[in-house]
Amino acid sequence: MMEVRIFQSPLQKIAFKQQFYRIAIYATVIILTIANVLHAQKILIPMDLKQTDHLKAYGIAYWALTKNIDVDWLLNFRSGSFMLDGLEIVVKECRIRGVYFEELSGAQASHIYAEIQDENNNMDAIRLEKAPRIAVYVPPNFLPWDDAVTLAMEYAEIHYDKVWDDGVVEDTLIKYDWIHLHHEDFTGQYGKFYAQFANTPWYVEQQALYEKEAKQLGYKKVSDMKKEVARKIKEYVAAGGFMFAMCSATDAFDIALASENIDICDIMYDGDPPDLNPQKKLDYSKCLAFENFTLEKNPMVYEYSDIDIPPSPIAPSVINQETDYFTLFEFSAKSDPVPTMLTQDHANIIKGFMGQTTNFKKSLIKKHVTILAEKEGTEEVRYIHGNFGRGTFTFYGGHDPEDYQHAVGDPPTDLNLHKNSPGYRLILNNILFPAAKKKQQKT
Amino acid sequence: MSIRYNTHLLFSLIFLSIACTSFLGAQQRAASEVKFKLAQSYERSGDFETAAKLYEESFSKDSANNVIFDALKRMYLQLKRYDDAIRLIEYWLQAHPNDIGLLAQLGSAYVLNSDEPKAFQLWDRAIALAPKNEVTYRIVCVAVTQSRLFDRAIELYKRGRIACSNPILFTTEIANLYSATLNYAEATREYLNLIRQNPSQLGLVQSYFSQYTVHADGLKITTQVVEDAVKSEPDNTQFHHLLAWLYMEGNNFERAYVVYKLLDEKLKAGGRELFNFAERALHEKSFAIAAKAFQDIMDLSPKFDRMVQVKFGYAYTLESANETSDTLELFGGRNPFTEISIAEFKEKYSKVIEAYERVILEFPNTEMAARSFYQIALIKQKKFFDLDDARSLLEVILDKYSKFSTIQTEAQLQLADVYLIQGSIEKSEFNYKQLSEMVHVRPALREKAQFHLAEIDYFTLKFQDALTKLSTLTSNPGSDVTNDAIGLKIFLEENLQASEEALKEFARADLLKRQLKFTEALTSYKAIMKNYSQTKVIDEALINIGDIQSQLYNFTEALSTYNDLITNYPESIFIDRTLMKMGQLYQFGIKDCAKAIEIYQQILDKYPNSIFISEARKIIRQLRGDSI
Repeated sequence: MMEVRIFQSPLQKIAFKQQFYRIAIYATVIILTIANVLHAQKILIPMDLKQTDHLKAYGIAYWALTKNIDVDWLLNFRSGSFMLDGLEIVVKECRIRGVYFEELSGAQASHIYAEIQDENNNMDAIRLEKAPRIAVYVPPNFLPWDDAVTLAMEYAEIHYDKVWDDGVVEDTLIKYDWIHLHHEDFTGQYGKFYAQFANTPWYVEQQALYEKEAKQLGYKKVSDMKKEVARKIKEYVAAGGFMFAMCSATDAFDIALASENIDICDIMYDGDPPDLNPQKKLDYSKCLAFENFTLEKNPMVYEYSDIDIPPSPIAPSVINQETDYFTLFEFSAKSDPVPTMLTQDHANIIKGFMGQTTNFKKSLIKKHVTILAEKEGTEEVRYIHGNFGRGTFTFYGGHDPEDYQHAVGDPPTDLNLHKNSPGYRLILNNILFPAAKKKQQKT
Repeated sequence: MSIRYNTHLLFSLIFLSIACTSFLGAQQRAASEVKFKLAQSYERSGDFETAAKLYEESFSKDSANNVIFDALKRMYLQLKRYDDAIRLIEYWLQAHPNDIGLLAQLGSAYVLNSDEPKAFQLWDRAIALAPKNEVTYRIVCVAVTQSRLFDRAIELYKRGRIACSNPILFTTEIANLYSATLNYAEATREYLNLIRQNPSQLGLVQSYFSQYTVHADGLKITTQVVEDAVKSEPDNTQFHHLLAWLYMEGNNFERAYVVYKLLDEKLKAGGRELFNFAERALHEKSFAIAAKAFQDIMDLSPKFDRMVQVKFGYAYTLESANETSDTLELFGGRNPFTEISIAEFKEKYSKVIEAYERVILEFPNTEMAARSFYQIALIKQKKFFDLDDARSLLEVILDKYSKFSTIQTEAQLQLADVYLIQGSIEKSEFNYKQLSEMVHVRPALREKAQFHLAEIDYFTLKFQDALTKLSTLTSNPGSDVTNDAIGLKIFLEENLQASEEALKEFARADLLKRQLKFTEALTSYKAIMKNYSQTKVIDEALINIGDIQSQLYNFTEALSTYNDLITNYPESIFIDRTLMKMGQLYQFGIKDCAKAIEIYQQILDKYPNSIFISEARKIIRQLRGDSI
């Protein structure tokens, strides 16, 4: 039988109401707390030393974006962690791919966001909204294991398309947010491999293939076509594209731009001698990152210019692998989010690795370019970033962060053995960076 | 007097003028030489403009000098003064109108000056000077190739071939040019030409081919061209060899087999060609084809001098084709998902045994006969569980084939195992002991024997002896038996102190299981469950029960047993392994992929540090159809 309560007075009624509301609030709080405990509201993918697979973690962030799940990139919070909604499919996918994650309650997540927003902490949260459309500039006979970026993307399961000279010349780049330049030689000197590999089948075939391509596209010489490709990529960047280049695609790209109207190729590369004094005719204003460099004119020397330091032919004998490390700079996350994004890593001193272009000589880098990493106390800069027009470019020296001295024909690096590679992380920072919601840059 | 005086004066004047002329000439030559050397040093230093000026001066004074001409021409080309270079060469040509090399160079200069039609005219003119001489074509074609006009170079080489009436002339040059221009079909046709003329070049041609058959399209096109060649010239056996090689490069052993069969016949090789092919096919695990090839040798070439290898190879191929691989080996040596009865196994292996028996019968005193005995013994033991037969066969090897020590020691190791299973523990121990003490025996085999001795100590409840032997084995990290030794050692150490009685019961049950007495073993493990429910061996007992149920194809019961373990002993260190077994039972036994994924997912969710984590991830992705 239902109990009927009779209030003696209005005050008693008010008191009862107050007590009722108080109980209701307490109950709601308790229910919410229990709900929070039972169902995580957020998933944190830490990127510090607790992470079991840093490289696949980027793949999870990319995968989430393809599923229209927003991702927050927590700059400088536990080495650049990711925060996602606590969805069951995210949890499952992390487990299947072997990515470490932590399930957070709403309160825990709020606490982290508050910590990040605190003016005293050099942290920030960047919302990633859309999976970037990625293009990799590679020749048709390319194999994915000859390039660290494609290796990283294959491992992290990040989708990419391949584009080649015809695609660039025909303006297909417009479809993409981000382009990676393979270890291509934009100067038209076929990587300056002539002295060592002139008679090997792959070199002969490559030269014939490029010549055929150039003819088909209406260029007399491969070098003319490559310069046009470099110019088109520069236009793409100016129009808002993101460009990432590694190893020799960095300096070769700028050299091609500077020598747009000059012939710097010797007879074995384009059938005629180079122009007289090409050095004097270089137009550095056309370059994105470098200036005042000196060309290596000897066609038999495996080097393009003095941008690369130490020069490739002597690098193996002057660099000591044991002491070869470079240091990442720290930037203000709230003021300089872009360089901060590009330098997110769980280590700030990173093992060096060689390439045809290993480091950039500091004195030859344009003043407006941001240095992201260098070998402390030397002229050797490893990682740079800059803006051009509405887009950006990032250059990263060296060939493969986990293969110290990668040579032609070497076996591919197995990233299953390097899941936590700090050097590879820098590459993947670049891939996610175009996904970031654009913020007003403060400096 | 005056005449005499005049004559003297005349001679003096002539002498003086000659002396002056030669003195001035020498001075001029010296000056020209100095200028030339100076020009060379400017050229070396990279100052081409100054060098060119000096060469021009030298040339103006000594225009017949070939060295100066060459130097000046070089400078003009270096400075891209192509008009000047052309004028210079043309001037020189006036004096040497039949110089083919010069005409070829002039053509190249016109190409640099973007006048290809003129270049072609000049090259044609050069050829017209000696149209039946192959050197003419070589000189001109080198210039054309250097101008990167590959198609034109091919055309001229071919013209030369016709003009010189030599169909194989310039084959390598033309093939290389086709290959460089990615025209693999024509390159192949040219290389075939080389074989046509010189069959011993097969190896060389294969090495040329391998430069572009590494690309899938290169292999496809080359194969098509060689197939056509074989059709049109069926008597060229080298073409057949080449075609078979290409098929094998593309892993198409069936087609290669057809070619080798034909080759064997054509070459009257008496089985040699087919044998080489069969060995390679067996090595590449193309069992069906390898068996066919071995069978053909037996049928078609009964006098083949390596018939014993053929017959053994045939039997071994049939046996290998029947094997299924179980890399995880979660349920021990036997994969419980084959669902084949012993009768079916006997049917399946009857031909294999028959083939081995033929080797024994026809080549009774050979090592292959001993090996055949051994292989039959293994089949009898592992597939038919016919231990008596297996034992007899192994004993025959020990009795009759003492000269083949390698196979003999392998047989002894196997025999010891059979004795153990049959309950003749002393005999088993004796054989293992002999092997463990042998000096000239493979270390891996000796270590196996030592481990089994420790196992026998465990089965016979001599736990301390077992521990001593296992301690020695575990100190060698490079041995194949180290992991098993460590596992047994830890198990013994853990349970010896906790409950020796339970351990003894467990050892007895384990021996029964090892002896394939599954029903008795099941009863023993269940008794342990009942009588020693508070001991540490309990979870292992449950696993063994589940494993035996799996082996007896009672998958539902096995799942229930494993589930008991997971529910009632959540702290057990075997949970992840048990989940993996459950996943396999759902995947392969009950064939419920969704449930299997759910179980594998539990390993990921609850045991992130399990050694099975990678395998579980891989299987989930395979089952859900990921392209990874």
